[in-house]
Amino acid sequence: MAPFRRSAQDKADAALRHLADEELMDLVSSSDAAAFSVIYDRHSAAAYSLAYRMVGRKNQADDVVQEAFLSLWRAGGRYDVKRGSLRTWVLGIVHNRAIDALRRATVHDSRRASDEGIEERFEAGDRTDLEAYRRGEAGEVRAALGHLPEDQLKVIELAYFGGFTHSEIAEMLNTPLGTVKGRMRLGLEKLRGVLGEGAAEAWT
Amino acid sequence: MDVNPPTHTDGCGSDVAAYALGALTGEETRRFEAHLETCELCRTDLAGLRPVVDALPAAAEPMEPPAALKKKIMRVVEAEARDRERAARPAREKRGWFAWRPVPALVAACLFVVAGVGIGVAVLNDGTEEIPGQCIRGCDRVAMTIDEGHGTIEVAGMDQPPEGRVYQVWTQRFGEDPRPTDALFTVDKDGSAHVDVPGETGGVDQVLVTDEPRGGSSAPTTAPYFAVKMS
Repeated sequence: MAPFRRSAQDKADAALRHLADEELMDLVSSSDAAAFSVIYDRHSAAAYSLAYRMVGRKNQADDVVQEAFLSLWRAGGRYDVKRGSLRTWVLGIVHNRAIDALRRATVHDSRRASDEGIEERFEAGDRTDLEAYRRGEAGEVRAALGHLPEDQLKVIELAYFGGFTHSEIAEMLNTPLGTVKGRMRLGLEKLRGVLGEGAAEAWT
Repeated sequence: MDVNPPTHTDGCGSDVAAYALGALTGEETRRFEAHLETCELCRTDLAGLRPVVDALPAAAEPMEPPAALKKKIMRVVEAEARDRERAARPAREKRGWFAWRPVPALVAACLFVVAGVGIGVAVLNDGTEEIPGQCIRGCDRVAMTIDEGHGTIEVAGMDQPPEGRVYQVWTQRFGEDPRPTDALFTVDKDGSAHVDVPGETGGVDQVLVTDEPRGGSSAPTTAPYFAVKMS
C-alpha cells in the first residue's frame, strides 16, 4: 500500500507531546499506545543511562529498559503523581530491574570471577571527566559525589550502581558490616548537604 | 537555630540508608518494610534520604537507547493495546448493526479533543482532505482521503476476510440505510488495502465496510469493521 498519509497522525502526536506526564499516564492507563510512545521518548535516555551504568553491557541494558517500560505500560494505572514524578518512578523501576539482573546467580558469578576489576569499575575514577557530561545536573550530582570521602563514595557506588548488598560490600572491602552501613548513611547525609534538599528534589 | 535530628534509640535506623540505596537482600527488604509500617522515625528518616538517592541516576553518563529497542517495545505495546481493545469489544458488538450506526459522537469527540485536530479532518498540502476513520473490529488504522469529491480508503492492520467472503464498501446518507457499492476488496499480506470509493462523496454521511459473500450484497449482512464519518 502507498505510505499512509501521516498528516492527521502527526498532528495528534504533536498534541500528545504537549501533555504533561500525568495526563499521558491517564491515557496509558486506558491502553493508549501513542501516549506511551511519548512517555518512552521522554524518559528512555535517562532510563537507559542508568541501566547501562548498572549492568555495564548493552544487551543487558536493553533487557532491563524493556522490562521496565513494559512494566510501566502494564501498571500505568497505578502511577500516582502525588507520590513523585514519573521520571523518579521510571528510574526506580529501572533500578530494581537492574538489581534483579545483577543479582541473578549467573551474573553475580561472572562478576565474582573478575572481582579485581569491580572496584575500578564502580568507584568514581572518572571524576575529572565532569566537563564531558552534557547535562548540567549530571555535572552537579557527580561534583557532589566528588565531595565525598573515598570510603563513603565507594559504598554508595557499589550499593546503588553496583547492586551489591551491604553484606556483600562488607565482605568485598573486608570491613565490618556496621561500618559499611555507617558510611552509607554519612555519605547520603553529606550528599544531601552538598546538593541541598530542594536541589535534590529538582532532579527527580 | 539547630533542630535536633530524629534519633533511633533502639538502633532500628541502621538499615535506612542501605534500604534507600537498594542494598538490602530481598528478605531484609521485606523485614524492613514491615518495620517501616510501624516506625514513624524510620519513615521520616527515609523521606529525608530519598531525594538524595533519586538524584543519583543523573550521575550516570548520558546515553541514548538504540532505536531498535523502541521498535521492539512498541511492537509488544501495540499488540497488547489491540488485545485489550478486542477483549473489551464483544459487549459493543452484541448491540448489533442498528445500535452502532451513528459513530458514537462522544467517543469521536473525545478522540479528537485528545488529538487536538478539531473534528479530525486534515487539509493536506495538495488540497486533498484526510479524514481519520474509526476501526471497530479487525483493523488497526483507517483513513479516507477526499480529492475533488472522490474518496479513497486506506486501511492498515486489517485481518483477511473470512473464508469465501470479501469486504464490501457502503455509503450511508443521514437517516437512510447504507447503499451498496461495487467496491469489493481483500487485503494484502500485511493487512493493508487501498480502495477507491465509487461515486461522489458529497452528501454521504459515513462510509462503512462489512464482509459479504463474493460478489457482494445488496444490504449489509454483518457488522462493520470500520466507519469513516464524513460530517
